[in-house]
Amino acid sequence: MKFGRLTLVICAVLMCSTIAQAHEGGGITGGFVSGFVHPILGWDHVAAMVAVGLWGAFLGNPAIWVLPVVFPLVMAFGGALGVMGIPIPSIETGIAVSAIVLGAMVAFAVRPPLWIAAVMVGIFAIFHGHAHGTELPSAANPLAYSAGFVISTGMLHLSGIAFGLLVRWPAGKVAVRTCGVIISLAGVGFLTGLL
Amino acid sequence: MRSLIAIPMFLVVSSMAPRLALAHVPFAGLNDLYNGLLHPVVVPAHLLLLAAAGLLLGKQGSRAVPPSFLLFCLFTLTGLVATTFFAGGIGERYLLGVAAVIGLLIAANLRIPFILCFILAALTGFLLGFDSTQTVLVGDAKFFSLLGSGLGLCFLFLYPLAFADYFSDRNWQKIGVRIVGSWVAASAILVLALSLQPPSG
Repeated sequence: MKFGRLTLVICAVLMCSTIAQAHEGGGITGGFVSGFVHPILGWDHVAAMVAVGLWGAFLGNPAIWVLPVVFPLVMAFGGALGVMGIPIPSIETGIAVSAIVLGAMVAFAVRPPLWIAAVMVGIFAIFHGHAHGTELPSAANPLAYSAGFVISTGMLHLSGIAFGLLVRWPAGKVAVRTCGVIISLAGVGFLTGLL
Repeated sequence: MRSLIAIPMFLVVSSMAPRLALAHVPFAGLNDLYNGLLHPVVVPAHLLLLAAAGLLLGKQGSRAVPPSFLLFCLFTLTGLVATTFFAGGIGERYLLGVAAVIGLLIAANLRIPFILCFILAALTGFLLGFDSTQTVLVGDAKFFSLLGSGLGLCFLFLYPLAFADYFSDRNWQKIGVRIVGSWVAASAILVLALSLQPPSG
């Protein structure tokens, strides 16, 4: 009989509300981690981001730092469009094309004026930002999520720049251009659905 | 034998019991001062604004750093005192708006007049202090929590300030600070866009 009462009490306690904490840590960590891994887990994002870094390193000063500064800002604009629900047609196609075009720029060692390079990278940044932005409203902590994916994107640029700095040596130049070819081919794979 | 079952059962039940709803007290088991100290660390908008303001003011040169820091501390204290009269905080939207503007200023590599540095330091300090409001705690608990928040904000502000001041000699260092500024602006703009959205449904 006593055991029955005890069971009732336990069941009642189990149904009671849990702690309400403002600014609890789990949402922040979860939001940051999910934002951080979002660009890394998408091969199409990785390829395009690394290509931006490679191209920046290939173009030299001041492109090496202009492109990584411009990209997150324009990406935020694209992300804001995604958050506001303003549709951009063929987002996935745009991301795949960004890998093809940016990879080709590196592969063929194309050196356009800085403003053309910045505009090209900026246009592709809108597609990438829009893709991230549409995920933002469902994030555990939107600010932590956006900080995570912006930092992650920046890290991918930096890894591209680090690899791209090999262009100082003749063999390195070949390696970087080969990487551009691989990124471009991967872009074709994303576009056709083979990857 | 009964006690062997009853004691663990009592512990399990008591651990499941509802507890006090703690607004702005993120870590259970810590005292009020330490909880207040950690408060800016677990509020991403505070961290973002602290990083932005610290980086911008730090990159203005060593002459601007000490007065900016003193003004920041003074106005943080003012903001904290103001929370005792006006509860509710300032709202994440305003913090992010200021962080976005400051982030853009860093990315654009603008050298701003000293007077604007001081205004920004004061504004940032006041906004962060005022947003560290404690609506649930009262008496000593509230005092120590606010004191902790003030100390936490001032300590944390020192890191980006010193970072940007220290890494201001070489070109790549300045570029690094500008890139971080663009990251701050991008993050703030995105969440600002989200917060400006009307509630769905």
